[in-house]
Amino acid sequence: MTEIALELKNVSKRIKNKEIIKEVSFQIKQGEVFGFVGPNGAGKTTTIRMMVGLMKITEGDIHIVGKSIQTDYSEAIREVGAIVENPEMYPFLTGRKNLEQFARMVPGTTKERIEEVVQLVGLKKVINDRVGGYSLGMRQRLGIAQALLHKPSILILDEPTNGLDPSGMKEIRQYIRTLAEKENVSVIVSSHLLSEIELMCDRIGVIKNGSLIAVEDVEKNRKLGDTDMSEFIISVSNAQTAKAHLDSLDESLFVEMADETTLKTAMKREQIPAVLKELLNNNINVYEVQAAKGTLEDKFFDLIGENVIE
Amino acid sequence: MSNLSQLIKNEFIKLHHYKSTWAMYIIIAVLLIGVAVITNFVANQSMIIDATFQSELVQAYQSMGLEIPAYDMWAFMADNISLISFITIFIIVAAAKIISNEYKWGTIKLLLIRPAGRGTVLTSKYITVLLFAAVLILYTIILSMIIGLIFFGVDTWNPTIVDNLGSGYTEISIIASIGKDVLFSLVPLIIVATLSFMIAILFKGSAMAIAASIVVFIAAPIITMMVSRYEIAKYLLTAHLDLQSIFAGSPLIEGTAPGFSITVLIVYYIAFMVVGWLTFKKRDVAGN
Repeated sequence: MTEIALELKNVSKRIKNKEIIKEVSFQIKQGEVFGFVGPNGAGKTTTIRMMVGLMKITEGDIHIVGKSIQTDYSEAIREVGAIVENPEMYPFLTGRKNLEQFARMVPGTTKERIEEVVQLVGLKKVINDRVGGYSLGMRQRLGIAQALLHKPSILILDEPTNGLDPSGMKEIRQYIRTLAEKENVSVIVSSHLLSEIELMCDRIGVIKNGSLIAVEDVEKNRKLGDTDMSEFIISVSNAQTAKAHLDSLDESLFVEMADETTLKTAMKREQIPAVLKELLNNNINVYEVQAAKGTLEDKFFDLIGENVIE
Repeated sequence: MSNLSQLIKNEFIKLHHYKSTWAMYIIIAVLLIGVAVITNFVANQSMIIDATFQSELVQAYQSMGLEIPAYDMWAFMADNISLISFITIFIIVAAAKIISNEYKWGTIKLLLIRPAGRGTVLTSKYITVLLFAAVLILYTIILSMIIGLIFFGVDTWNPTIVDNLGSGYTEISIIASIGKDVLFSLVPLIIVATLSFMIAILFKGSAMAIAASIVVFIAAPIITMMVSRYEIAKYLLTAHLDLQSIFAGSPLIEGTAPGFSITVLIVYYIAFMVVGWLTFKKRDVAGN
Protein backbone atom coordinates (compact mmCIF):
# COMPACT_ATOMS: atom_id res chain seq x y z
CA MET A 1 0.00 0.00 0.00
CA THR A 2 2.83 2.39 0.72
CA GLU A 3 4.49 1.64 -2.57
CA ILE A 4 5.89 4.64 -4.40
CA ALA A 5 3.91 5.40 -7.55
CA LEU A 6 6.01 8.26 -8.79
CA GLU A 7 9.34 9.64 -7.79
CA LEU A 8 11.20 12.73 -8.93
CA LYS A 9 14.90 12.70 -8.16
CA ASN A 10 16.67 16.07 -8.35
CA VAL A 11 14.94 16.94 -11.59
CA SER A 12 16.27 20.02 -13.35
CA LYS A 13 15.38 21.54 -16.68
CA ARG A 14 17.42 24.10 -18.52
CA ILE A 15 16.31 25.83 -21.69
CA LYS A 16 18.97 27.99 -23.32
CA ASN A 17 21.00 28.17 -20.12
CA LYS A 18 18.02 29.38 -18.17
CA GLU A 19 17.13 27.11 -15.33
CA ILE A 20 13.38 26.54 -15.50
CA ILE A 21 13.19 23.76 -12.93
CA LYS A 22 15.72 23.52 -10.12
CA GLU A 23 16.38 20.16 -8.50
CA VAL A 24 12.82 19.21 -7.74
CA SER A 25 12.40 16.00 -5.75
CA PHE A 26 9.30 14.40 -4.32
CA GLN A 27 7.52 11.10 -4.04
CA ILE A 28 3.90 10.14 -4.46
CA LYS A 29 2.46 7.04 -2.84
CA GLN A 30 -0.10 4.78 -4.41
CA GLY A 31 -3.65 5.96 -3.94
CA GLU A 32 -2.55 9.41 -2.90
CA VAL A 33 -3.87 12.67 -4.32
CA PHE A 34 -1.05 15.14 -4.65
CA GLY A 35 -1.70 18.79 -5.36
CA PHE A 36 0.82 20.79 -7.31
CA VAL A 37 0.35 24.47 -6.65
CA GLY A 38 2.20 27.53 -7.80
CA PRO A 39 1.63 30.81 -9.54
CA ASN A 40 1.49 30.99 -13.32
CA GLY A 41 4.90 30.42 -14.83
CA ALA A 42 6.32 28.68 -11.77
CA GLY A 43 7.08 25.50 -13.69
CA LYS A 44 4.09 23.28 -12.96
CA THR A 45 3.37 22.41 -16.56
CA THR A 46 7.06 22.00 -17.40
CA THR A 47 7.43 19.52 -14.55
CA ILE A 48 4.36 17.64 -15.73
CA ARG A 49 5.64 17.59 -19.31
CA MET A 50 8.83 15.98 -18.06
CA MET A 51 6.83 13.40 -16.11
CA VAL A 52 5.09 12.25 -19.30
CA GLY A 53 8.14 12.46 -21.53
CA LEU A 54 7.00 15.39 -23.64
CA MET A 55 10.09 17.28 -22.50
CA LYS A 56 13.56 15.92 -21.97
CA ILE A 57 14.98 16.06 -18.46
CA THR A 58 18.22 18.03 -18.28
CA GLU A 59 19.36 16.48 -15.01
CA GLY A 60 17.93 13.97 -12.57
CA ASP A 61 15.38 11.28 -13.29
CA ILE A 62 11.70 10.48 -12.93
CA HIS A 63 10.58 7.00 -12.00
CA ILE A 64 7.04 5.78 -12.55
CA VAL A 65 6.24 2.66 -10.56
CA GLY A 66 9.97 2.04 -10.46
CA LYS A 67 10.57 2.53 -14.20
CA SER A 68 12.60 5.42 -15.54
CA ILE A 69 10.77 7.67 -17.98
CA GLN A 70 14.10 8.25 -19.73
CA THR A 71 15.42 4.75 -20.24
CA ASP A 72 12.26 2.66 -20.00
CA TYR A 73 9.80 4.99 -21.69
CA SER A 74 7.23 2.53 -23.06
CA GLU A 75 6.88 0.60 -19.82
CA ALA A 76 6.78 3.76 -17.71
CA ILE A 77 4.28 5.67 -19.83
CA ARG A 78 1.91 2.68 -19.90
CA GLU A 79 1.25 3.38 -16.22
CA VAL A 80 0.37 7.02 -16.85
CA GLY A 81 -2.84 8.64 -17.95
CA ALA A 82 -2.68 12.37 -18.42
CA ILE A 83 -4.25 15.58 -19.53
CA VAL A 84 -1.57 18.15 -20.24
CA GLU A 85 -2.99 21.66 -20.28
CA ASN A 86 -6.30 21.63 -22.11
CA PRO A 87 -8.24 18.45 -22.84
CA GLU A 88 -7.66 18.51 -26.58
CA MET A 89 -9.44 15.99 -28.78
CA TYR A 90 -10.16 15.57 -32.47
CA PRO A 91 -13.05 17.97 -32.97
CA PHE A 92 -14.43 16.26 -36.07
CA LEU A 93 -14.76 12.85 -34.41
CA THR A 94 -17.43 11.82 -31.94
CA GLY A 95 -16.56 11.23 -28.32
CA ARG A 96 -16.63 7.49 -28.86
CA LYS A 97 -14.49 7.64 -32.02
CA ASN A 98 -11.96 9.71 -30.09
CA LEU A 99 -11.79 7.14 -27.33
CA GLU A 100 -11.46 4.38 -29.92
CA GLN A 101 -8.46 6.21 -31.35
CA PHE A 102 -6.77 6.29 -27.97
CA ALA A 103 -7.77 2.71 -27.21
CA ARG A 104 -5.94 1.51 -30.34
CA MET A 105 -2.77 3.22 -29.15
CA VAL A 106 -2.42 1.04 -26.06
CA PRO A 107 -2.70 -2.67 -26.89
CA GLY A 108 -5.24 -4.59 -24.84
CA THR A 109 -7.82 -1.86 -24.35
CA THR A 110 -11.24 -3.38 -24.98
CA LYS A 111 -14.59 -2.05 -26.16
CA GLU A 112 -16.04 -2.90 -22.75
CA ARG A 113 -13.43 -0.70 -21.11
CA ILE A 114 -14.54 2.23 -23.30
CA GLU A 115 -18.15 1.74 -22.17
CA GLU A 116 -17.01 1.46 -18.56
CA VAL A 117 -15.06 4.71 -18.71
CA VAL A 118 -17.85 6.57 -20.50
CA GLN A 119 -20.18 5.45 -17.74
CA LEU A 120 -17.73 6.55 -15.07
CA VAL A 121 -17.37 10.11 -16.35
CA GLY A 122 -21.07 10.38 -17.16
CA LEU A 123 -20.86 11.14 -20.85
CA LYS A 124 -23.28 8.45 -22.03
CA LYS A 125 -25.77 10.87 -23.53
CA VAL A 126 -23.36 12.79 -25.73
CA ILE A 127 -20.73 10.16 -26.53
CA ASN A 128 -22.01 9.83 -30.10
CA ASP A 129 -21.90 13.57 -30.75
CA ARG A 130 -18.97 15.32 -32.37
CA VAL A 131 -16.47 16.70 -29.87
CA GLY A 132 -16.45 20.01 -31.73
CA GLY A 133 -19.84 20.72 -30.17
CA TYR A 134 -18.86 19.78 -26.61
CA SER A 135 -18.78 22.28 -23.79
CA LEU A 136 -15.53 22.72 -21.89
CA GLY A 137 -16.90 20.62 -19.04
CA MET A 138 -17.75 17.75 -21.39
CA ARG A 139 -14.32 17.97 -22.99
CA GLN A 140 -12.71 17.91 -19.56
CA ARG A 141 -14.63 14.73 -18.76
CA LEU A 142 -13.71 13.16 -22.09
CA GLY A 143 -10.12 14.06 -21.31
CA ILE A 144 -10.35 12.19 -18.02
CA ALA A 145 -12.01 9.25 -19.80
CA GLN A 146 -9.13 9.18 -22.28
CA ALA A 147 -6.59 9.26 -19.45
CA LEU A 148 -8.29 6.39 -17.62
CA LEU A 149 -8.79 4.11 -20.65
CA HIS A 150 -5.71 1.95 -20.19
CA LYS A 151 -6.12 1.64 -16.40
CA PRO A 152 -3.06 3.65 -15.41
CA SER A 153 -1.59 3.62 -11.90
CA ILE A 154 -0.99 7.36 -12.05
CA LEU A 155 -3.33 10.00 -13.31
CA ILE A 156 -1.76 13.36 -14.10
CA LEU A 157 -4.19 16.22 -14.51
CA ASP A 158 -2.86 19.63 -15.40
CA GLU A 159 -5.33 22.30 -14.30
CA PRO A 160 -8.32 19.93 -14.37
CA THR A 161 -10.75 22.49 -13.01
CA ASN A 162 -9.66 25.26 -15.35
CA GLY A 163 -12.68 26.93 -16.88
CA LEU A 164 -15.23 24.78 -15.11
CA ASP A 165 -18.25 26.11 -13.27
CA PRO A 166 -18.51 25.40 -9.51
CA SER A 167 -20.69 22.33 -9.93
CA GLY A 168 -18.36 20.97 -12.58
CA MET A 169 -15.42 21.49 -10.26
CA LYS A 170 -17.19 19.68 -7.49
CA GLU A 171 -17.89 16.72 -9.76
CA ILE A 172 -14.28 16.50 -10.89
CA ARG A 173 -13.18 16.62 -7.26
CA GLN A 174 -15.50 13.75 -6.47
CA TYR A 175 -14.22 11.64 -9.39
CA ILE A 176 -10.68 12.18 -8.30
CA ARG A 177 -11.34 11.22 -4.66
CA THR A 178 -13.28 8.15 -5.80
CA LEU A 179 -10.51 7.06 -8.13
CA ALA A 180 -7.87 7.41 -5.46
CA GLU A 181 -9.87 5.64 -2.77
CA LYS A 182 -11.60 2.87 -4.73
CA GLU A 183 -9.13 2.07 -7.52
CA ASN A 184 -5.96 2.98 -5.65
CA VAL A 185 -4.91 5.32 -8.45
CA SER A 186 -2.40 8.01 -7.56
CA VAL A 187 -3.46 11.40 -8.81
CA ILE A 188 -1.41 14.51 -9.44
CA VAL A 189 -3.44 17.65 -9.92
CA SER A 190 -1.93 21.00 -10.65
CA SER A 191 -3.52 24.37 -10.19
CA HIS A 192 -2.60 27.98 -9.67
CA LEU A 193 -5.51 28.29 -7.25
CA LEU A 194 -4.99 26.61 -3.93
CA SER A 195 -8.64 26.80 -2.97
CA GLU A 196 -9.61 24.73 -6.03
CA ILE A 197 -7.60 21.69 -5.15
CA GLU A 198 -7.18 22.03 -1.40
CA LEU A 199 -10.39 20.06 -0.89
CA MET A 200 -9.33 16.97 -2.80
CA CYS A 201 -5.66 16.54 -1.97
CA ASP A 202 -3.85 14.56 0.66
CA ARG A 203 -0.67 16.56 0.23
CA ILE A 204 0.17 19.75 -1.55
CA GLY A 205 3.50 20.73 -3.05
CA VAL A 206 4.16 24.41 -3.61
CA ILE A 207 6.40 25.36 -6.50
CA LYS A 208 7.83 28.80 -7.10
CA ASN A 209 10.35 29.91 -9.71
CA GLY A 210 11.10 26.31 -10.55
CA SER A 211 11.83 25.16 -7.01
CA LEU A 212 9.66 23.05 -4.80
CA ILE A 213 9.53 25.24 -1.72
CA ALA A 214 7.18 23.32 0.53
CA VAL A 215 5.19 20.11 0.78
CA GLU A 216 2.23 20.41 3.12
CA ASP A 217 0.26 17.58 4.60
CA VAL A 218 -3.21 18.97 4.12
CA GLU A 219 -5.09 16.19 5.82
CA LYS A 220 -3.13 16.61 9.06
CA ASN A 221 -3.66 20.37 9.10
CA ARG A 222 -7.36 19.94 8.71
CA LYS A 223 -7.63 17.41 11.52
CA LEU A 224 -5.67 19.62 13.91
CA GLY A 225 -8.03 22.46 13.17
CA ASP A 226 -10.99 20.32 14.21
CA THR A 227 -9.78 19.32 17.65
CA ASP A 228 -7.81 22.35 18.72
CA MET A 229 -8.81 25.98 19.01
CA SER A 230 -9.63 27.92 15.87
CA GLU A 231 -8.67 31.37 14.85
CA PHE A 232 -11.32 34.10 14.79
CA ILE A 233 -11.07 37.68 13.67
CA ILE A 234 -13.26 40.15 15.56
CA SER A 235 -13.99 43.67 14.32
CA VAL A 236 -14.67 46.03 17.21
CA SER A 237 -14.95 49.76 17.83
CA ASN A 238 -11.86 49.91 20.02
CA ALA A 239 -9.41 47.07 19.83
CA GLN A 240 -7.15 48.24 22.65
CA THR A 241 -9.79 48.30 25.39
CA ALA A 242 -11.37 45.17 23.97
CA LYS A 243 -8.07 43.32 24.30
CA ALA A 244 -7.70 44.47 27.90
CA HIS A 245 -11.17 43.21 28.80
CA LEU A 246 -10.69 39.86 27.09
CA ASP A 247 -7.29 39.27 28.64
CA SER A 248 -8.84 39.55 32.07
CA LEU A 249 -11.85 37.42 31.11
CA ASP A 250 -10.29 34.06 30.42
CA GLU A 251 -6.71 32.94 30.62
CA SER A 252 -7.10 30.30 27.92
CA LEU A 253 -7.92 32.96 25.35
CA PHE A 254 -5.26 34.13 23.01
CA VAL A 255 -5.85 37.73 21.93
CA GLU A 256 -3.74 39.79 19.62
CA MET A 257 -4.33 43.27 18.24
CA ALA A 258 -4.07 43.35 14.48
CA ASP A 259 -4.88 47.05 14.14
CA GLU A 260 -7.01 49.74 15.86
CA THR A 261 -10.28 47.96 15.19
CA THR A 262 -9.33 44.33 14.62
CA LEU A 263 -8.54 41.55 17.05
CA LYS A 264 -7.06 38.22 16.17
CA THR A 265 -8.11 35.58 18.64
CA ALA A 266 -7.69 31.87 19.12
CA MET A 267 -10.41 30.16 21.07
CA LYS A 268 -12.85 27.30 21.19
CA ARG A 269 -16.17 27.69 19.46
CA GLU A 270 -18.07 27.46 22.80
CA GLN A 271 -16.23 30.49 24.11
CA ILE A 272 -17.59 32.91 21.50
CA PRO A 273 -20.85 33.86 23.34
CA ALA A 274 -18.99 34.67 26.53
CA VAL A 275 -16.46 36.80 24.67
CA LEU A 276 -19.18 38.73 22.88
CA LYS A 277 -21.16 39.25 26.10
CA GLU A 278 -18.05 40.62 27.80
CA LEU A 279 -17.35 43.05 24.99
CA LEU A 280 -20.93 44.29 24.63
CA ASN A 281 -21.38 44.66 28.37
CA ASN A 282 -18.37 46.96 28.38
CA ASN A 283 -19.81 49.19 25.64
CA ILE A 284 -17.53 47.94 22.94
CA ASN A 285 -19.37 47.56 19.63
CA VAL A 286 -18.80 44.33 17.74
CA TYR A 287 -19.27 44.51 13.98
CA GLU A 288 -18.06 41.16 12.80
CA VAL A 289 -16.80 37.82 14.02
CA GLN A 290 -15.13 35.80 11.33
CA ALA A 291 -13.52 32.41 11.38
CA ALA A 292 -10.05 32.77 9.91
CA LYS A 293 -10.28 29.97 7.40
CA GLY A 294 -7.44 28.10 5.77
CA THR A 295 -4.27 28.85 7.59
CA LEU A 296 -2.97 27.06 4.53
CA GLU A 297 -4.04 29.87 2.30
CA ASP A 298 -2.03 32.31 4.40
CA LYS A 299 0.89 30.00 4.32
CA PHE A 300 0.60 29.76 0.57
CA PHE A 301 0.71 33.49 0.17
CA ASP A 302 3.57 33.77 2.62
CA LEU A 303 5.47 31.26 0.55
CA ILE A 304 4.60 32.65 -2.83
CA GLY A 305 4.90 36.30 -1.92
CA GLU A 306 3.62 39.16 -3.95
CA ASN A 307 5.60 39.22 -7.16
CA VAL A 308 4.34 36.00 -8.63
CA ILE A 309 6.02 36.05 -12.00
CA GLU A 310 9.71 36.77 -12.07
CA MET B 1 4.44 -4.28 -34.91
CA SER B 2 0.69 -4.69 -34.59
CA ASN B 3 0.89 -1.41 -32.76
CA LEU B 4 2.12 0.26 -35.96
CA SER B 5 -0.78 -1.13 -37.98
CA GLN B 6 -3.22 0.14 -35.35
CA LEU B 7 -1.65 3.59 -35.58
CA ILE B 8 -1.91 3.53 -39.37
CA LYS B 9 -5.57 2.58 -39.01
CA ASN B 10 -6.02 5.59 -36.71
CA GLU B 11 -4.38 7.88 -39.23
CA PHE B 12 -6.58 6.58 -42.05
CA ILE B 13 -9.71 7.13 -39.98
CA LYS B 14 -8.66 10.70 -39.20
CA LEU B 15 -7.65 11.36 -42.81
CA HIS B 16 -11.01 10.20 -44.11
CA HIS B 17 -12.87 12.46 -41.73
CA TYR B 18 -11.53 15.55 -43.46
CA LYS B 19 -13.78 17.09 -46.05
CA SER B 20 -10.70 17.96 -48.10
CA THR B 21 -9.88 14.26 -48.49
CA TRP B 22 -13.25 13.54 -50.01
CA ALA B 23 -12.88 16.63 -52.16
CA MET B 24 -9.76 15.01 -53.64
CA TYR B 25 -11.67 11.90 -54.69
CA ILE B 26 -14.47 14.03 -56.12
CA ILE B 27 -12.12 16.38 -58.01
CA ILE B 28 -10.37 13.43 -59.66
CA ALA B 29 -13.72 11.94 -60.72
CA VAL B 30 -14.94 15.27 -62.08
CA LEU B 31 -11.71 15.80 -64.02
CA LEU B 32 -11.86 12.32 -65.54
CA ILE B 33 -15.46 12.74 -66.63
CA GLY B 34 -14.72 16.22 -67.96
CA VAL B 35 -11.76 14.98 -69.99
CA ALA B 36 -13.86 12.12 -71.33
CA VAL B 37 -16.68 14.45 -72.39
CA ILE B 38 -14.33 16.90 -74.06
CA THR B 39 -12.40 14.15 -75.84
CA ASN B 40 -15.64 12.57 -76.93
CA PHE B 41 -17.14 15.68 -78.48
CA VAL B 42 -14.25 17.86 -79.44
CA ALA B 43 -11.20 15.84 -80.24
CA ASN B 44 -10.66 13.67 -83.22
CA GLN B 45 -11.14 10.34 -81.60
CA SER B 46 -10.38 8.16 -84.54
CA MET B 47 -6.70 8.78 -83.83
CA ILE B 48 -4.70 8.07 -80.73
CA ILE B 49 -1.92 10.30 -82.02
CA ASP B 50 -2.08 13.86 -83.27
CA ALA B 51 -0.37 13.76 -86.68
CA THR B 52 0.62 17.43 -86.57
CA PHE B 53 2.30 17.47 -83.17
CA GLN B 54 3.63 13.95 -83.06
CA SER B 55 4.77 13.44 -86.61
CA GLU B 56 7.88 11.60 -85.43
CA LEU B 57 5.70 9.05 -83.73
CA VAL B 58 3.48 8.69 -86.77
CA GLN B 59 6.57 8.00 -88.84
CA ALA B 60 7.66 5.39 -86.33
CA TYR B 61 4.35 3.60 -86.76
CA GLN B 62 4.60 3.77 -90.51
CA SER B 63 8.16 2.52 -90.60
CA MET B 64 7.18 -0.47 -88.49
CA GLY B 65 4.20 -1.17 -90.70
CA LEU B 66 1.77 -0.84 -87.81
CA GLU B 67 -1.67 0.66 -87.88
CA ILE B 68 -2.26 3.58 -85.54
CA PRO B 69 -4.83 2.26 -83.04
CA ALA B 70 -8.20 3.92 -82.47
CA TYR B 71 -8.85 5.98 -79.34
CA ASP B 72 -10.27 3.52 -76.79
CA MET B 73 -10.26 2.82 -73.06
CA TRP B 74 -6.50 2.16 -73.06
CA ALA B 75 -5.69 5.41 -74.75
CA PHE B 76 -7.92 7.26 -72.29
CA MET B 77 -6.13 5.59 -69.38
CA ALA B 78 -2.72 6.37 -70.77
CA ASP B 79 -3.74 10.02 -71.22
CA ASN B 80 -4.95 10.37 -67.66
CA ILE B 81 -1.88 9.00 -65.97
CA SER B 82 -0.76 12.64 -66.07
CA LEU B 83 -3.32 13.20 -63.30
CA ILE B 84 -0.67 11.83 -60.96
CA SER B 85 0.83 15.35 -61.03
CA PHE B 86 -2.44 16.49 -59.57
CA ILE B 87 -2.36 13.72 -57.00
CA THR B 88 1.18 14.76 -56.10
CA ILE B 89 -0.12 18.16 -55.05
CA PHE B 90 -2.87 16.53 -52.99
CA ILE B 91 -0.27 14.34 -51.32
CA ILE B 92 1.92 17.36 -50.54
CA VAL B 93 -1.07 18.84 -48.73
CA ALA B 94 -1.90 15.57 -46.96
CA ALA B 95 1.73 15.08 -45.84
CA ALA B 96 1.87 18.58 -44.35
CA LYS B 97 -1.56 18.40 -42.72
CA ILE B 98 -1.05 15.01 -41.12
CA ILE B 99 1.66 16.65 -39.01
CA SER B 100 0.43 20.21 -38.62
CA ASN B 101 -3.14 19.32 -37.64
CA GLU B 102 -1.93 17.48 -34.55
CA TYR B 103 -0.09 20.62 -33.45
CA LYS B 104 -3.03 22.82 -34.38
CA TRP B 105 -5.46 20.81 -32.25
CA GLY B 106 -2.93 20.14 -29.51
CA THR B 107 -3.59 16.41 -29.89
CA ILE B 108 0.11 15.84 -30.50
CA LYS B 109 0.52 15.64 -26.72
CA LEU B 110 -2.06 12.88 -26.39
CA LEU B 111 -0.47 11.06 -29.30
CA LEU B 112 3.00 11.11 -27.80
CA ILE B 113 2.21 10.04 -24.25
CA ARG B 114 1.50 6.46 -25.37
CA PRO B 115 3.73 3.39 -25.25
CA ALA B 116 4.25 3.48 -29.02
CA GLY B 117 7.04 6.04 -28.91
CA ARG B 118 7.68 8.97 -31.17
CA GLY B 119 9.47 7.12 -33.95
CA THR B 120 6.57 4.71 -34.39
CA VAL B 121 4.02 7.52 -34.36
CA LEU B 122 5.92 9.37 -37.08
CA THR B 123 6.45 6.20 -39.13
CA SER B 124 2.73 5.46 -39.02
CA LYS B 125 2.01 8.93 -40.35
CA TYR B 126 4.57 8.63 -43.14
CA ILE B 127 3.31 5.22 -44.21
CA THR B 128 -0.23 6.58 -44.19
CA VAL B 129 0.79 9.35 -46.59
CA LEU B 130 2.36 6.85 -49.00
CA LEU B 131 -0.59 4.47 -48.72
CA PHE B 132 -2.96 7.35 -49.39
CA ALA B 133 -0.97 8.17 -52.54
CA ALA B 134 -1.27 4.53 -53.64
CA VAL B 135 -5.01 4.60 -52.97
CA LEU B 136 -5.48 7.79 -55.01
CA ILE B 137 -3.44 6.45 -57.92
CA LEU B 138 -5.31 3.12 -57.96
CA TYR B 139 -8.59 5.00 -57.72
CA THR B 140 -7.60 7.16 -60.70
CA ILE B 141 -6.53 4.14 -62.77
CA ILE B 142 -9.66 2.12 -62.00
CA LEU B 143 -11.98 5.06 -62.48
CA SER B 144 -10.35 6.03 -65.78
CA MET B 145 -10.75 2.42 -66.93
CA ILE B 146 -14.46 2.50 -66.12
CA ILE B 147 -15.06 5.93 -67.63
CA GLY B 148 -12.93 5.07 -70.66
CA LEU B 149 -14.89 1.87 -71.19
CA ILE B 150 -18.20 3.73 -71.00
CA PHE B 151 -17.19 6.56 -73.33
CA PHE B 152 -14.87 4.89 -75.81
CA GLY B 153 -15.31 1.13 -75.51
CA VAL B 154 -12.42 -1.24 -75.91
CA ASP B 155 -10.73 -2.55 -79.06
CA THR B 156 -8.56 -5.30 -77.78
CA TRP B 157 -7.66 -6.69 -74.36
CA ASN B 158 -4.02 -6.97 -75.28
CA PRO B 159 -3.24 -3.56 -76.77
CA THR B 160 0.16 -2.38 -77.96
CA ILE B 161 1.61 1.03 -78.63
CA VAL B 162 4.78 2.40 -80.14
CA ASP B 163 6.83 4.30 -77.63
CA ASN B 164 10.33 5.56 -77.02
CA LEU B 165 11.91 3.80 -74.08
CA GLY B 166 15.15 5.74 -74.30
CA SER B 167 16.65 3.56 -77.02
CA GLY B 168 14.49 4.45 -80.00
CA TYR B 169 10.91 3.57 -80.88
CA THR B 170 9.65 0.07 -80.25
CA GLU B 171 6.31 -1.60 -80.02
CA ILE B 172 5.30 -2.29 -76.42
CA SER B 173 2.16 -3.21 -74.54
CA ILE B 174 0.07 -0.21 -73.42
CA ILE B 175 -0.16 -1.70 -69.97
CA ALA B 176 3.62 -1.74 -69.71
CA SER B 177 3.74 1.83 -70.99
CA ILE B 178 1.21 2.93 -68.35
CA GLY B 179 3.15 1.10 -65.68
CA LYS B 180 6.34 2.85 -66.73
CA ASP B 181 4.63 6.26 -66.60
CA VAL B 182 3.25 5.54 -63.13
CA LEU B 183 6.67 4.51 -61.85
CA PHE B 184 8.32 7.61 -63.24
CA SER B 185 5.66 9.89 -61.69
CA LEU B 186 6.04 8.15 -58.35
CA VAL B 187 9.59 9.42 -57.99
CA PRO B 188 8.79 13.15 -57.73
CA LEU B 189 5.66 12.30 -55.73
CA ILE B 190 7.58 10.49 -53.01
CA ILE B 191 10.39 13.06 -52.94
CA VAL B 192 8.19 16.15 -52.62
CA ALA B 193 5.80 14.41 -50.21
CA THR B 194 8.79 13.63 -47.98
CA LEU B 195 9.97 17.23 -48.33
CA SER B 196 6.56 18.52 -47.31
CA PHE B 197 6.46 16.08 -44.39
CA MET B 198 9.87 17.23 -43.17
CA ILE B 199 9.12 20.95 -43.42
CA ALA B 200 5.82 20.45 -41.60
CA ILE B 201 7.75 18.79 -38.75
CA LEU B 202 10.28 21.62 -38.64
CA PHE B 203 7.71 24.41 -38.61
CA LYS B 204 4.82 22.52 -36.93
CA GLY B 205 2.63 24.17 -39.53
CA SER B 206 1.46 23.38 -43.04
CA ALA B 207 1.69 26.70 -44.91
CA MET B 208 5.44 26.72 -45.44
CA ALA B 209 5.55 22.99 -46.15
CA ILE B 210 2.85 23.12 -48.81
CA ALA B 211 4.14 26.27 -50.48
CA ALA B 212 7.77 25.18 -50.66
CA SER B 213 6.98 21.67 -51.86
CA ILE B 214 4.59 22.81 -54.57
CA VAL B 215 7.14 25.32 -55.81
CA VAL B 216 9.82 22.63 -55.95
CA PHE B 217 7.44 20.29 -57.76
CA ILE B 218 5.90 22.66 -60.31
CA ALA B 219 8.72 25.11 -60.88
CA ALA B 220 11.50 22.52 -60.98
CA PRO B 221 12.46 23.26 -64.63
CA ILE B 222 12.38 27.02 -64.07
CA ILE B 223 14.46 26.85 -60.90
CA THR B 224 16.96 24.60 -62.61
CA MET B 225 17.22 26.89 -65.66
CA MET B 226 17.81 29.92 -63.47
CA VAL B 227 20.89 28.41 -61.90
CA SER B 228 21.93 26.18 -64.77
CA ARG B 229 25.04 28.24 -65.58
CA TYR B 230 26.53 27.45 -62.20
CA GLU B 231 28.28 24.19 -61.53
CA ILE B 232 26.15 23.64 -58.43
CA ALA B 233 22.97 23.31 -60.52
CA LYS B 234 23.58 19.65 -61.17
CA TYR B 235 23.35 18.92 -57.46
CA LEU B 236 20.00 20.66 -57.19
CA LEU B 237 17.03 18.43 -56.40
CA THR B 238 14.93 20.14 -59.07
CA ALA B 239 17.27 19.02 -61.86
CA HIS B 240 16.57 15.35 -61.21
CA LEU B 241 12.85 15.03 -60.55
CA ASP B 242 11.93 14.27 -64.17
CA LEU B 243 13.64 10.90 -64.44
CA GLN B 244 11.67 10.04 -67.57
CA SER B 245 13.40 12.79 -69.56
CA ILE B 246 16.74 11.86 -68.05
CA PHE B 247 16.29 8.23 -69.13
CA ALA B 248 15.10 9.42 -72.54
CA GLY B 249 18.33 11.37 -72.89
CA SER B 250 17.04 14.93 -72.57
CA PRO B 251 17.86 16.05 -69.02
CA LEU B 252 17.48 19.62 -67.77
CA ILE B 253 21.20 19.88 -67.21
CA GLU B 254 23.32 18.71 -70.13
CA GLY B 255 25.04 15.43 -69.55
CA THR B 256 23.16 14.22 -66.50
CA ALA B 257 23.33 10.45 -66.42
CA PRO B 258 20.49 8.38 -64.91
CA GLY B 259 22.84 6.85 -62.35
CA PHE B 260 23.95 10.26 -61.11
CA SER B 261 20.34 11.48 -60.90
CA ILE B 262 19.26 8.47 -58.89
CA THR B 263 22.16 8.97 -56.49
CA VAL B 264 21.31 12.64 -55.99
CA LEU B 265 17.64 11.78 -55.38
CA ILE B 266 18.54 9.11 -52.82
CA VAL B 267 20.85 11.51 -50.97
CA TYR B 268 18.12 14.16 -50.78
CA TYR B 269 15.56 11.58 -49.68
CA ILE B 270 17.75 10.29 -46.87
CA ALA B 271 18.52 13.85 -45.77
CA PHE B 272 14.80 14.73 -45.58
CA MET B 273 14.05 11.58 -43.60
CA VAL B 274 16.91 12.00 -41.15
CA VAL B 275 16.19 15.69 -40.49
CA GLY B 276 12.46 15.02 -40.05
CA TRP B 277 12.85 11.99 -37.78
CA LEU B 278 15.59 13.45 -35.60
CA THR B 279 13.73 16.72 -35.12
CA PHE B 280 10.54 14.93 -34.20
CA LYS B 281 12.25 12.55 -31.80
CA LYS B 282 14.41 15.08 -30.00
CA ARG B 283 12.23 18.12 -29.74
CA ASP B 284 10.49 19.15 -26.55
CA VAL B 285 6.75 19.40 -27.00
CA ALA B 286 5.91 22.70 -25.38
CA GLY B 287 2.94 25.00 -25.58
CA ASN B 288 2.83 25.75 -29.29
